[in-house]
Amino acid sequence: MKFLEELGFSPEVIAEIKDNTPDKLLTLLAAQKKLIAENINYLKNLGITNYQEIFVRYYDIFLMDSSNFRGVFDKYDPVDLVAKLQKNINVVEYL
Amino acid sequence: MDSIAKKLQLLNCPANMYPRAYKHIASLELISLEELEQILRLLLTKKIIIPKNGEILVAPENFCVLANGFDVLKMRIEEIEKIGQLDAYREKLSRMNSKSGIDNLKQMINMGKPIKDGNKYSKVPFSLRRFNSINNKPKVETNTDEPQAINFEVQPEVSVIPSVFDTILEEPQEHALTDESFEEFERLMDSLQRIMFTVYGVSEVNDKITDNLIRLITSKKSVLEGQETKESLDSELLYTAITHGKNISEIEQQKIRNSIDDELNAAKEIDIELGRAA
Repeated sequence: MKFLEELGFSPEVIAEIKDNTPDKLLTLLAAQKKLIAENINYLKNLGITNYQEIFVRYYDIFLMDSSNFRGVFDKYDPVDLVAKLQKNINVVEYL
Repeated sequence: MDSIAKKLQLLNCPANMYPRAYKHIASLELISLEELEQILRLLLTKKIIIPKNGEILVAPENFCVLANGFDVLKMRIEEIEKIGQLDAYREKLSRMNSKSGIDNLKQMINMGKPIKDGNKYSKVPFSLRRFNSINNKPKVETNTDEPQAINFEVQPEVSVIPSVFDTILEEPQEHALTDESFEEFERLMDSLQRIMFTVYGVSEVNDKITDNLIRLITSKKSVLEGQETKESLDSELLYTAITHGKNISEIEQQKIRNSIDDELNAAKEIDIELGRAA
């Protein structure tokens, strides 16, 4: 999953993702790497520093089309959102 | 494709949970309604999930577990039952995603390391990063879902490759991806997207073609290992993945062949430039 390396993921984190992701989803992630990169970059640009942790836990939501993905996060004040996600990534579920 | 609404209904997912559930729809799309029923029956029988009135059976954040499919989940349950640790899955459903979890757990038991923190199972065996850092050594990849060899006859003639490859796709058996085959999938998927764009004007590769490619990659080694050059194997893999089961004209076939040749030649040139040629 070289595209994840290019997005700043370490080999250890990538190994963790591969170990914890069903094969069918892994192939879907690889096939949709442009979309995944777009969604990850969106989080990075919002200032969310623990985006890797979010991806490791919730990789399947990164397969949402980018406008829907943005819609999940756009509703909130970015500073507040970053602070809350920094504190607890489970917040992603309730956005 | 079974409707997502029916699957959500089966999961007893209430309407107010739909926004959460829809974030995880990619996982639900990967399983059929029938397989979902099978999985739920299995998880209920083993008391890994326990329904309560009005509560959902599987929380949306765990839909990805369902995407493992019935066979994989059944095998993991059987394996963890053998070491008497099924409660680890009962405690946290998402642990069923871990491919190395059971092996790590076994290893910790054998080494006399604690597998519980208080009353709860330790996170260590189900997190490769934690497990490796505690053991302070690189983890040897353990794939609990070893693909089984297919008992095809090896065909020595180049001219029969397409039919052998088509035969693979007629096989109902599924194969797990190893690290090596996954890397190959990624490489060929890139090529496939470019070929689809050249031939059809869209870079999107549909589920059927993706599935064909995965099945060919995970099966081909047992069929044709050592028989062909990398380029001609790649060419046949790509061609069969695109065309299998389709009734296409000779002109379209030629267009696909030409595009594959162009793509593989370009990839080869890049490899040579980057010094990656074999």
